[in-house]
Amino acid sequence: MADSTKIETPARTVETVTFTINGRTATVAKGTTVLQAAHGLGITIPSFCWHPKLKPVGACRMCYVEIEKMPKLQVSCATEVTNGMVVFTESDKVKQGRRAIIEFTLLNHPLDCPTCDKGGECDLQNLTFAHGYDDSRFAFQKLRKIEAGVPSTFDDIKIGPEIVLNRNRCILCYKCVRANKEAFGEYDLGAFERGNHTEINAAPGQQVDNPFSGNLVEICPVGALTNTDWRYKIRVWLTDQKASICPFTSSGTNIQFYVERHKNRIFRTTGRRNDAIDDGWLSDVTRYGYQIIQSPDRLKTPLIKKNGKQVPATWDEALAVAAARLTEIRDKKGCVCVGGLASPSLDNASLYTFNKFMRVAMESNNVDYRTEYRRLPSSLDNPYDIAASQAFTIADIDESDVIVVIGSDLVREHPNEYLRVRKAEQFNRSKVFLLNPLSTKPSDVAALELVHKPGAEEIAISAICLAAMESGWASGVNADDLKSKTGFKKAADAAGACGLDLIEIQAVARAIAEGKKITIIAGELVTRSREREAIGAALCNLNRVFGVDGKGQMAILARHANSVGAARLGLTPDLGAGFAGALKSIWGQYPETPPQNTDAMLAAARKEELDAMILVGVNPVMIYPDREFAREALDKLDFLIACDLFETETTQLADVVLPLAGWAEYRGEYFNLEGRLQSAEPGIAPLNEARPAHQILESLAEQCGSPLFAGMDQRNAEMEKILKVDIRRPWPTGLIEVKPQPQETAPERTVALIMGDDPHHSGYLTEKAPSLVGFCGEAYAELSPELAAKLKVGAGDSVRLEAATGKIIVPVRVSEHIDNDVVFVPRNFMAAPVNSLVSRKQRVDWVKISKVSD
Amino acid sequence: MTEILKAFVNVIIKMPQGFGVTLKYLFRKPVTVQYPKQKIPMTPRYRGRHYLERYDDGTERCVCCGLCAAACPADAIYMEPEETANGERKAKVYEINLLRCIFCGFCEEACPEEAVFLGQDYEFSADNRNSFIWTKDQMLVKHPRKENPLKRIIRRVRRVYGVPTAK
Amino acid sequence: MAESKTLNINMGPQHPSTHGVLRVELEVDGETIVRAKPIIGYLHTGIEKTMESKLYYKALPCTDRMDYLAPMSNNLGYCLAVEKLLDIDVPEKVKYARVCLAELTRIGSHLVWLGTHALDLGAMSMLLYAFRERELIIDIYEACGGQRMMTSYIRIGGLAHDLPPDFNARVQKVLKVIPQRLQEYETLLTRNQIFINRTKGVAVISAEDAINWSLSGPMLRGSGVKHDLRKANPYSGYEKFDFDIAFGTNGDAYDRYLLRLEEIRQSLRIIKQSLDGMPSGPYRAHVPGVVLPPKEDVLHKMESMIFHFKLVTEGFKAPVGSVYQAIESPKGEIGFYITGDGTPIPRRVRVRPPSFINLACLPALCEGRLLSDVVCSIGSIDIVLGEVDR
Repeated sequence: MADSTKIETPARTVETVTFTINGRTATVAKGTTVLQAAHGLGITIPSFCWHPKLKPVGACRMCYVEIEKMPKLQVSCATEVTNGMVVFTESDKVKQGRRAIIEFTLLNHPLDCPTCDKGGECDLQNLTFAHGYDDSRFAFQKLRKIEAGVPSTFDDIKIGPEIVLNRNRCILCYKCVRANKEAFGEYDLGAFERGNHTEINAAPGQQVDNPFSGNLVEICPVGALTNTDWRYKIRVWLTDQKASICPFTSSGTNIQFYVERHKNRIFRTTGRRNDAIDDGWLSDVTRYGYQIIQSPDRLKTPLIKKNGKQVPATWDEALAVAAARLTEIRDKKGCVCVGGLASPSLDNASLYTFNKFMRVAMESNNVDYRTEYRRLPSSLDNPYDIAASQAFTIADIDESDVIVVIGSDLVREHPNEYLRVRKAEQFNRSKVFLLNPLSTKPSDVAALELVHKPGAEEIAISAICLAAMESGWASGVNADDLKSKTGFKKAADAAGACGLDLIEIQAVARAIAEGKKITIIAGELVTRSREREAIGAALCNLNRVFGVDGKGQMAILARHANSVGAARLGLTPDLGAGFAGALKSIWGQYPETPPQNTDAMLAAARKEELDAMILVGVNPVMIYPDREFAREALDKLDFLIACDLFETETTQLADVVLPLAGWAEYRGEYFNLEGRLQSAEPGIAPLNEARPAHQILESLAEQCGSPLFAGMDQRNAEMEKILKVDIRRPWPTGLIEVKPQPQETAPERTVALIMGDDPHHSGYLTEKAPSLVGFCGEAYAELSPELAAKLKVGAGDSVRLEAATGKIIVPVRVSEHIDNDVVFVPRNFMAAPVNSLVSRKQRVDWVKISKVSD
Repeated sequence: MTEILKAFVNVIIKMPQGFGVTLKYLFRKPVTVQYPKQKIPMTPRYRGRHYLERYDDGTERCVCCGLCAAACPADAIYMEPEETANGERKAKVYEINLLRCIFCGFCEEACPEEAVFLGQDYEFSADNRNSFIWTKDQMLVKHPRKENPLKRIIRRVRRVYGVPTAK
Repeated sequence: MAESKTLNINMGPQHPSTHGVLRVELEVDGETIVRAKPIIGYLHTGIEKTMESKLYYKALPCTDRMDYLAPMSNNLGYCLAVEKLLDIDVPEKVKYARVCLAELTRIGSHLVWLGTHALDLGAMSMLLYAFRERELIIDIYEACGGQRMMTSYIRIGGLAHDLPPDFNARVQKVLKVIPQRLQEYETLLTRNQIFINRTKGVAVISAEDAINWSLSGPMLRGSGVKHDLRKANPYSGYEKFDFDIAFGTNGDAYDRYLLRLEEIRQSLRIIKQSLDGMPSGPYRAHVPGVVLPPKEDVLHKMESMIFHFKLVTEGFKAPVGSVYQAIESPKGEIGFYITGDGTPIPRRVRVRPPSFINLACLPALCEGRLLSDVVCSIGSIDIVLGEVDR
C-alpha cells in the first residue's frame, strides 16, 4: 500500500527548496505546494476543494495558512513553496480565518443534516466541528435553488442513472467538475450561473452516466451529490468497512465494502486509494458490481436434474449424485472423458483446488480457464504467451512519455489503465498513440489515433517495424530478415495492407524510437483474435526492433481479476515439462492423458468423446465465441456439473447445479495483472446455501474417494511451492515470422463486428446489478454516423445483425467516435447474445446489418 | 443508675409521646391515592412512552436521521429509512424496544426535527415480549401534546432555509 | 461436656433486612456471631465496563443506576470528573442548582435510610412517614428531569434542562415540611427505649478503625472524625455555603442515627442558602464541541445543527489523561476515576463506591455480637447494593 501522505513531486524536477513550517525546517522539491509539503510532514491542513489527484484550484479557501511577509492569509493548496518561506498553519490568525471561511461556507447551507446521507462522513461537518463555532450570526433567509416541478421539499434532482444532486448543499468546491474533466475526460457535469447563484448541474440535455460517475459522489465533500445506491439506506456509523478487491477488472482495484453485519448485507463500495494501482478512482462496474451478490435471483439451493427437470436438493444429495456419476465416468470410460473449466475471476485457493481436483481426483489434463477465446494455442511456448507473460507496472504508465495502445478498447477493458493513460497525458504531457480497428475512448487525449482495417493488427505492427527500419531507427536488426519475417518489402505496402497512411505509421515509429520511457499496452482485441499468435509474433518483433524492454514496458494485459493467478497456478491443459514436473513432485502424481483446451474439450464433447464436465463460475453458452457450438457441446455431455451464482443458459443444461459463493462472501487472494498478490476480506457470510468454490471442490473430491488436502495449511503450502515456478518467458532474441493471414469476407456481409464489454457491464453477471442495468440495460449496436446514414437508421431504431451462425436484433447507438465500417456490440447480454453472431473459426466476424421496420 | 432512670422516663413518658404521633395520623386524611382509580398527574417533563410528532398538515416529522438511535444508551431504537414517492426521506421502520429502553430521554434531546418525544404514559404492561416493541404506527397516534416544544413546530422546509419564525 | 459446635447460616441474599441482595455468611455459636462474611456480586451489572464502551455523555444514565437512592449525587460526581478531565467550568447558576439538588438527594437518601433502618428494628410507621416525605423530593426530581429515580438531570457542562418554573415553590415546601417532620421522627425514635436498646452500643467502630477501614460519610463521622469532602475538598462551589459537619462520639448505630438527622438539618440550611443565592443565567456552559447547543439554535442555525449532529453521533473527544473526582454522597465519598485516551470513549472508568467500602467493615461490626445486631449493623452502614456490586 502506498503511503497516502507521500509528497508527490512533479516529475523531472530535482531542484529543491527549503522552508520553515510551524518552526520546523524542511526541504522539498521545487514546485511542491505548501499544502502537499505540510501533509508530507504530517501537518494536516483542512481543505474542501483540494484532491491529491487533481490540480489545485483554491476554490474553498479552507486551506488558509499564514506566510510571513505576506499581508493576508494564503491558500496553501495553490501556493508553491519558495526558499526561506516561513509558514504557520495553526496561528490565531489562521484559526480565525478558518472559522470565518466555515461561517461563509455555511451561509446558504440548508439545515439538511438529518436528511442528508453524507451525515457522519461529511467533510463540511467534520471541518465545522473541528474548526468552526457552534453558533451563527446569520439568521436571514437562505438562498434556495429549486427547480419548478420538483415535488419534494428536499430539492433533490436526479442527474444521472445513479446520481442525485442537491444544489443547495453544494459548497462549490468544483471537485466533481474537475475530476470529471481532468481525471475522466468527461464533460457531462458543469458549473452554471455566477456568484451566489453558481450551481453544479448536468450539462443541458445530458445525464451524468460516464463510466466513472460514482467517483463524483465519493469525492463530494458534502451531500450535494449522493448516489441512489446508498441513498436513504443506512447511516454510515452503523456500518463496518471490509477491505476487498474488485473482481471485474484485472488491475485489482482496492475497494472496501460498507457492511452491516447484523443484516449480513453490503450497502456500498468505495475506493481504498492505492496509488500503485487505482489512485482511488473506481469504475462504476467496480463500485456497483457488489449488488450481484445480494441479488434476489441468486441460486438458493443445489439443483439436481430428475426426469429432465431440475429440482431443489440438499448439498449432501447433490454432492453425492455428482461424486457418484463422476467416479463412474472416470472409472469406466477413462480419465480423458472428464473436463473442467474454471473462471479466471476466482481466487487462488479455488483455482488451485480446481486444478488439483481435475488432475489428481479426476486424473484428467482437461483443465482450462480461457473460455471466451477462440483457437487457443496448444502449449504456452508461443509468441502470444511470451508477450502476455511480460512484467507490467501500472504506476509506470504515469511516467511514460510515449504510450501506445494496441488492440485494446481501453476504457471498456481496463478502466484503471485508461485513467492512468489520461493522467499521463494530462499531468505529464505524455504522447498517446492508439492502434485499433475502431476508434476508442482515449482518442481525445491521443496524439494520433490509427484505425486500421479489422483483422490486420499484426500487419499494422509490422508496418511500424518496417517504417522504423527504413528510417534507420532499428539498429541491430537485419533489414532483409525483417522483410522476410513480416512478409512485406516496404512499410508503405504494409501500411496499405492494413489501411493506414504511411506518414501515421512513421509518426508512431518515430515516437517509440525517440521516447525515453515507453509503455505499450496490448489488450483484448489481440487476445480475442483468432490470430493471437501472429499478433504476438509481431509484438515480439516490435520489442526487438525498438528495444522496448530496455526503456519501458510492453505487455498484453490480462483481462480478468485473477487471470494471472490462473496461469501461475497451472490451469492450462499443457503445462510443459518443467511446470508439470513441479506439480508431479508436489502431488506425487500427474495425469498422463492428452491435454485438451476449451476448444478441444467442447469439440470432443460435441463428438461425444467427452462425457462429463465441471464448470466453476463459467457460462460457456454466453461467453464462448460461438454460442450454438458451445450449447450443442454441453447438451451432448452425459453429465454436467455447473457451479454458479445464478441460473444461466449453461446451468439450465446441467445435471447438477451447485450455488457458488461470490467473491464478497469469503476470503480470497488474487493476482492482479502486474502479478501483485492482494487479499480480499469477506464482506458478508455466504447467502442462502452458497459455498465457496474451493469448499465445493474439496467436498466433491472427498466424496469421490480422493481427498485433496489434509487441511488449509497443506493447501497453502502446496500453493506456495507452485507459485515459485516462474512462468515468465523472456522476449525472443531474434525476429519471429509473422505468418500472413488470408482475409475472409462474405460478399453480402460487409460490416465487421467488434464485440466487447460495455463500460457498465462486465461479464455475464453484472446484469444482476440493478444500478449497472440503470446505466446500460441492453445490448446495442454502435455505428458510425456515416454507416447509420447509409442504413437510414438513427438513435432509437433497431437493427438486425445477421451472420452465418445467427442473428440478433438490437437498438442503434450512433457514435461520433466510430468512423469506419465496423459495428460495436457489447457482449454478455442475455436478451441479445452477440456471441451467437460469432464463429470460432473466423478471424473477423462480418455481419449484415439491416433496419428493422416496425 | 441514671441510665435506668433515663430508661424509665423514656418508657413512661417519651414512648407514649411517640404513640401520640401515630395516633394523630389516624385522624388525618391519608396521603396515599387509590392508584388504578385515582392517578397522580405527571409533571410536564415526565419521561414516559414515546410518541412521534406530526406536522400540522399531518405529515410525519421524523425523517429517520438516526440520531435518536445513535444517542440511545440502551440501543433500543431500530430504524430503516426509505424514499417516498416524491423523493423525501422518511422512516420505513421505526421501532423502540420498550424492554430495553431506559427512558433517559436522550432520543428526545437528540432529535433534530423534534419528532420523537416521551409522553406522559407509564402504563404499559403486556403478557408477551413482542408487544413491547413499539412500532411507528403505535407511536404516531394522537397524544396529549406537551406544551414546551410545540411552539417550535413549523414546516420543515421553512425552517431549513431559515424563514424566521413568528414568535 | 459436649463440645461446643458452631453453626453456619446464610443471611440473604433474599432477606428483607439486607437491603437488596446482600448475602452474609454467618458462623454462629448459639446467638453469638463468630464470623460474618459479606458476599456480594448478586447485583453485578458491569456498570464500569458498560461505561467504558459508551460515549462520555451516553455513560451518564449508568451512574443513576448505581446508588439509585441518590441519583443526583452520582450524576454530579461523574459530571464533575468529566468536566475536570475536559477542564471546563460551568456557570454559577449550575453550581448552585447542583448543590441544591445534591443536598435534596442527601435528604432523600437519608429518609430512605431512616425508614428502612427503623423498620428493620421494628418501627413500621417510621417507614411510611419517611417515604411520605421523600415523595416531595422525588417530585422535585420528576419536575426537573422527568424521572422520579433515574434522573440523568445533571449533565456534563450543566443541566439537562433549566430548573422548572415551580422549582422554588417545591423546594420551599421541602424546607417548610421537613423540619416539622424531623421533630416527629425524633419524638418517635430518639427517646424510644426499644430503639435505644437496639442501637446504642451496637455496631461500634472506633475512629482509628474507621480510618483504617477507609470508611467515609456518616460511618466515619459517627466515630468522631470530622471529615467531610464538602469542607475538606470543596467542589461545585460548596465553599460558599455555611454549614456544620455533623459528627458523633461513640461510633455506634445510635450516634449515626442522630448524625444523619443532623445532616438533614444541615442540608436544609444549604438548600435555603442556595435557593436564596441562586443567580440567574444559563443552565449549561457554552463549550462548543462538548455541550450540546440549545435546541432552538439547532432548529434554525446550521452551525448548531452540525455541532449537535456530531456531538450526538460521535461525542466529544476527551484529552489523554486521568482524573479522580470525589464528592460527598449521602453514603460517603463517591469517587470517579476516569482515564481518557483521546477518543470519545473513556479508556477506564473506575468508581469508588462508598457503600462497597463501608460494607467491608461489617465483620468488624458484628463479630462477637448477637445475631440480632447483624440487622442493625447492616442497616446503620447504609448500603445500596446497586452501588456495592455496580
